[in-house]
Amino acid sequence: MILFGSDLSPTVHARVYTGFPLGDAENFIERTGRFMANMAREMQNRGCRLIGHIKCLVASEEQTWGYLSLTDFKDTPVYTGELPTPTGSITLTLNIIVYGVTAEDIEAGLSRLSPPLQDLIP
Amino acid sequence: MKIILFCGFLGAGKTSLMLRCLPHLTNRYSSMAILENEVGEAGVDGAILKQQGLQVRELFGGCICCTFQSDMLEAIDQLRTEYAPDLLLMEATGAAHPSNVLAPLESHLTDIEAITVLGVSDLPRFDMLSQMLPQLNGDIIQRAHAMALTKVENADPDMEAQCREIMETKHPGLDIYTIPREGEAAVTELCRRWL
Repeated sequence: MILFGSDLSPTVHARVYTGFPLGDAENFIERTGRFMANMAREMQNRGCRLIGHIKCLVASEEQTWGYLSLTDFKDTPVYTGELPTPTGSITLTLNIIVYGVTAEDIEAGLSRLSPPLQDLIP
Repeated sequence: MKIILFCGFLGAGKTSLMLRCLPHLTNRYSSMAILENEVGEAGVDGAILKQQGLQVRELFGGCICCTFQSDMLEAIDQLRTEYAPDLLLMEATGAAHPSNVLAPLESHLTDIEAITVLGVSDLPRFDMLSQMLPQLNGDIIQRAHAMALTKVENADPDMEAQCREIMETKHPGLDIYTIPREGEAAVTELCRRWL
């Protein structure tokens, strides 16, 4: 665990998930948000003291549809943008910026939680 | 060329506020460009801004207040050469100290008409960030020409007054705007006065 100083740098990590077939868009966004909230809790359990920003861009080959944003452990991610239309496949770009854990902690958390995300896709 | 620098902690709502300001700027500036800096390993905000059909140059994976200072200056030079914008909107990373962004800007770009710093602070996290990241929070307040308080709907009712008092103590005369999620009156006034 990284201990807090006065003004420390955040730990950043990203992962891109590609090729999700889009079914029910609203359901898809909700489930992706749930994954992000679970990831925040996972970070907290691993010693994270402060979320900088956990953000997930929702895009297809044609366009960027919107993004989910989470800045507090107790919040639910907020989606800003349009719901994707059910054509083509979706790419999720997840950016995690947190304080108090290492990149290895983030990677371990993602590895633990990502398989259920795949299972959640309708 | 005029520069507007959006500063504020990660997740404060800098990109969202910039998007809300854009309609107010398009009829006042003939050409605009955006320099988007993200500390994350993948560009997210740049993609959102590009979706609006804007000229966006992205710098991600580092911060223009430290590791990317020279990249920032190079990117600005390229944008000026390619698009000659009369307004450059810059979004710093949420970890950027505005003093460290302004110093190279002011020394390198001597022909800039004006640099306006717009600070963005999400009200629910203001108290916590003041304690955890006091230097960053303080620098944003002290260097900002105006501050935008966001996510006010999620904050305790008395938080806004406390936050304003702290900001005014650190920066007397600071122009502070409360930006609700719905309604554009405050954004309109902010843009009219500062952008």
